[in-house]
Formats: sequence, structure tokens, C-alpha cells
Amino acid sequence: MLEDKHEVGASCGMSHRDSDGIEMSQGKTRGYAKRFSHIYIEDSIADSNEVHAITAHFPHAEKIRIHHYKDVFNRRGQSAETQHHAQALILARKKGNLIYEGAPVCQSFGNVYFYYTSCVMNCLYDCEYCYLKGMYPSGHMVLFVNLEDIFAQTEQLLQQHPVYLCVSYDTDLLALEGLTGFVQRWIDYTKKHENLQIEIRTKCARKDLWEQFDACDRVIFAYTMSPDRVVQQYEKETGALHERILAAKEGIRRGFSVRLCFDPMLYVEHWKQEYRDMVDDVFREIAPEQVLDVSVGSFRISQDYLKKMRKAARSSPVVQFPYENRGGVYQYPEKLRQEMENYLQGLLKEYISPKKIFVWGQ
Amino acid sequence: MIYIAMALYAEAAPLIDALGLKRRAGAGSWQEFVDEEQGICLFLTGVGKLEAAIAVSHFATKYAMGNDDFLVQLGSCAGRKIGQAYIIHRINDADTGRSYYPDVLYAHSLPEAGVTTGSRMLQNGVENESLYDMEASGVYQAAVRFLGPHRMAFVKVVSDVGQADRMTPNLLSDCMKEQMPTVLELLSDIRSYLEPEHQDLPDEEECQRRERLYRDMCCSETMRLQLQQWLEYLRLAGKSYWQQIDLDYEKEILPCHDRKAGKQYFEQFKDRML
Repeated sequence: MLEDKHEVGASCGMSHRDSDGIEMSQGKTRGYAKRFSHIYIEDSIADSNEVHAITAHFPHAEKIRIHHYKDVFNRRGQSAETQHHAQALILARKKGNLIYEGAPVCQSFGNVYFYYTSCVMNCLYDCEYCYLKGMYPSGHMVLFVNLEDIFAQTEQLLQQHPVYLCVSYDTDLLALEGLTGFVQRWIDYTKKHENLQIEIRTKCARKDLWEQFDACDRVIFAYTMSPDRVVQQYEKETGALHERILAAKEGIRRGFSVRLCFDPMLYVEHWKQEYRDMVDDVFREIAPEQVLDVSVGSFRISQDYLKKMRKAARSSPVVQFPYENRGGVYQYPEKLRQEMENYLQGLLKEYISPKKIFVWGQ
Repeated sequence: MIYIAMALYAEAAPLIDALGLKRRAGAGSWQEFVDEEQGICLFLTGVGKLEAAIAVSHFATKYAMGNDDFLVQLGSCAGRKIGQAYIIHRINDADTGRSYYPDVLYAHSLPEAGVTTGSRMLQNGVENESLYDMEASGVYQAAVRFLGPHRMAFVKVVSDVGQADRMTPNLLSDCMKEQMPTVLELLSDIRSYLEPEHQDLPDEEECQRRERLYRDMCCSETMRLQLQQWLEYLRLAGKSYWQQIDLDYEKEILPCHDRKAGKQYFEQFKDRML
């Protein structure tokens, strides 16, 4: 049972900072309700097996019936930052178009038919720089229970051409696996469709999940790797770097396809040393030739999202950095961006073939 | 400031006494009771959602309510369990069929429920386990123009089973009086929730120094905004940029004599700071 936030946290491989459970058991901050103490459920799915299975994890939560998830998620004047302290869960059925073409700010890894889908909106983790804070009007999490409809639309695309589909962009599906089982279902689905390749992006450090999954070389587990300083300062509640490395290593050992994403690269104090230490730490544990590929990209974000985030996170250096707006995308000043990305590529080339290094924008 | 909206004086009197609130003179058409030190302002809205919405709009405008404030709508309702207080997580408007959902992000010890807001007093009793009031949807709709749903709470105390002729001001007052310990505990919970997180904002001296620098670099409005973003980032990142700027004043690089020189200085400044 995942009755409260501490247990959710423990099941997600959250960092050691949270493992004592003292803070986690009553919301992140004193005065706040527990995470998922409130579950909003669309009327049309209230009696579904999926909903029963999920709500069974939270027997003490208030279950509130709603007509449509947007009645809660799209309310006027919400504070995603405040809501993240006591995140509510919204269970809904997704309608309309469920598969989207890959966004220009995302790395396609050379795939022509690059798509993404959002079976969950918002994340258990609370990364300070995350675009979700600028993209969504709410910090509450929406979980779409009708995964089969996304499968059906994927099927239609697969009849036309091969598909490369990122399924964990707007959330961290691996972190939610104990609650949803979605990763398992995506693996099962992908195994049945030879022209489908999926990517599951994660900062989750759970190693126990590998036992549950069957390896499939078309299911790519993409670990975001960030220096310790970045994890501690900006990636609240995520798995510590070393834990992520060990989780990725274990996945490789069990025959899973593992990608390492050195993206987003952040400008922090002593960044060169931080990134050197991180790359050395990664390849001290992980054999480079066993990694599927790696990606490099400095932080970039849509102008609309950053504008909103700057209003909400007044004290955040990563949000308040004076990025330059190039074509509607805020990025580091060009000289700095090149210096950072070239430096990181240089570090990676000490370990891994340039053919396996994908750089955003190139 | 915590604002408390209540419909009738009979409901509010026990809380006014318990908190030691003082009537504020000159509140116009409304009655208002305050304690500035506690940061509490209780006002009476009158009965009905339209009255409630008008009063909330009035006070929200008068005091420029924003997301540093919190609004509690406290009042009686009809229901089955007389004397029971509830936190409201869903408000149904009986007239429009619309529902509203105030966030319940604060920890509290009360049971939660939904309430239906109607325009008429119930005559024949409530149905099932539902709660019925006459203000909540009006308060929500007015308040959400000023406050986010995370900055309001709706607390309902069941005073009757919805048979209008049986309700009197004394019954209302007694019902609320019994709930005072619960209400005071809830206010304490809300205060705990409201404790501001540390926000690292520039102090007055920093702002004054920046203003001087904008002038001395002959900034256009655009350049001023860019420089402001740079200075704010540098401050948050703990960089000692004023040392460099002060040195430039000593060397008489600053003040710049025109906008062109200011632009050149800004470019050099950016290069030096990263």
C-alpha cells in the first residue's frame, strides 16, 4: 500500500534525504496535507477497475467526484509551487488526440517519426527548473487511466510508419510504477509491435523494478544524469546521482536498453569540475560500450513557460538566470552554451564514441 | 491577513468574542470586526450567494486581497449531523449546476464534505448525507477573482436539518459557540500552512544601488530590464558583483557618458560575470 507520501517516496527510489520519512509523512512542509490526501475522480470512470486499483493505495484519501479533470486542473489562479507541497491526484480519461509530434526543444535521437504522449501530467519530483511548472496551470497530478486508448492511437500510427515514442516526458513514469504499472504495460505493448521504439525518461533510482520487467531492446530507459550539486540544489526528491548510476548499471546488467541523458546541463558554480566529476562517476560504474547512446543539451525552455516560472520562483537562480531568447526559446548566452556543451562533449568523448553522442540542435 | 466571511452576526458573535475582535467603524453597508495584531478581519456578508459575492468583492477590493492573504468562509449549513463541522472540498451551485473545488492543501483534523449552495432556504429537510448552504458558491466565485483556490477555505457547521421554521438566531449562535474550539484549532492549522517560505528578495539598499546603476549606464527600458535580470541572478547565485562595479566607479569607467558607452559596459560586465 502506498498510503502516504513517505511510502510513495520510498517506492520511487527518492534520495536518502527523504528516507527518514519525518518530513515526508505529513507533507513536505509543516502545515501541509499529505501528498495524494485528495483524489479527484471523473464521474465517467469512477467505477472502473483502474480507478479502484489506484485508490486502493490510498484508503484514507478524500475521494472527490468531478465531471471533468479540467474542472480542477484548469482552475483560475492556482499555485503549482504551493500545490506541490500537498499534491492531489486527479484520475481521468483522456480524449481526443493522444499522441503528439516531438517538440523542437526535445532531442529526437535521429528518429524521423518522433512522437510523445502524456499518460500522466505532472510529476512526483519537484525539479526547480522543470518546464512543467510553466506549462501546466496546476501542480496537481493528472493520471489518465485509459492507456488502451493511447495504445489504439499508436497502433494507427504504426500502420503508416515506424514510431519512436517518448512516454515519460511530462512525468516520471518509473517513479509512479508502484501506483500505475504503466511501464510494465508499455513494455508488454512494445514487445508486440516490432516497428515501435519507446523511451522512458527518468530520474528514479529504483533498482528493484528490473526484476518485474522483461527486457526489450526497443524500450529505452533514459536516465537523466546530473551532478550532485544540481541534484541537491534543483532536483528535489529525485534519486541521488550515485543511486541513479547504480539503477542504470543494474538495468544494463539485466539486458535492458539504457540511455544516459546529460540534459539539461546547468550553469552552476564550478560547473566544469562538477560535470567532470559526474562523468567520471558515471563511467566508473557503467561500461560505456554497454550504453545505448548519450545525449547532451544545455538548459532551454519555451519563453512562455519561463515567463510564468519567473513570477512563481523569485528566489531561484536557475529560473532567474538571464537566458537569451532565440526564436522563442530561452537558452544560455551563445558563447556560454557552446562552451558548456563542447566541454561536456569533450568529457564524454574520453569514454564513448562520438557516434553515440547526440547533441540537441545539431 | 486572514479574512473570515460569515453571513449573520448571530453566527459570528461567538467567534468575535473568542478572538476578541473589535468592530471597525465606518465600514459602510457592512459590519467588520478586526484584530490587526492577530491579522484577522471578519466581515458579515448577509444571507444568500449574491449578497455574499458582493461583500467578498467589496472587501477584496477595499483591502487589495491577494495571494498573501487567506479567506475563510465560515457558517452554518443544513445537514444530518447537527453540530458537526466540515471542511468543504466541493461546492455545487444548485442554480447553475456548476461545481467549484477549493484546494485543501492544509493539514486539518475535520471531516470533509461537499456542499450544495442554493438560493432558497430549505423547507423539507436535506436529502441523504448532503450539506446545504446559501453562500459558499457566491463566496468562491467572487474570491477566486482575487485569490487562488489554495488561499481559501470553506468551513460549514451543521446547524439544522433544513426545516427553516425551526431555526432561530439563538440556535445558530449556540451551534457556532459549541464549535469554537474546533474553529480556533482550524485557524491555527491554517496559520501554520500560511507561514511564508523564505523568499530571498532584494532589500531596499540593493534596489537603490541598482537604480543608480541603471541611471549611470544610461539604460533604455529594455536594457534596464535585461540588467535587472542579470543583477538579480548574480545576487541569487551569491556572486559579488558590486565589488566589480564599485571598482569601475573608482576607475571612472562608470558613470557612462551616453547610452552607447552604457551598452559597451553592459557587454563587458556580462563577460566578466560568467
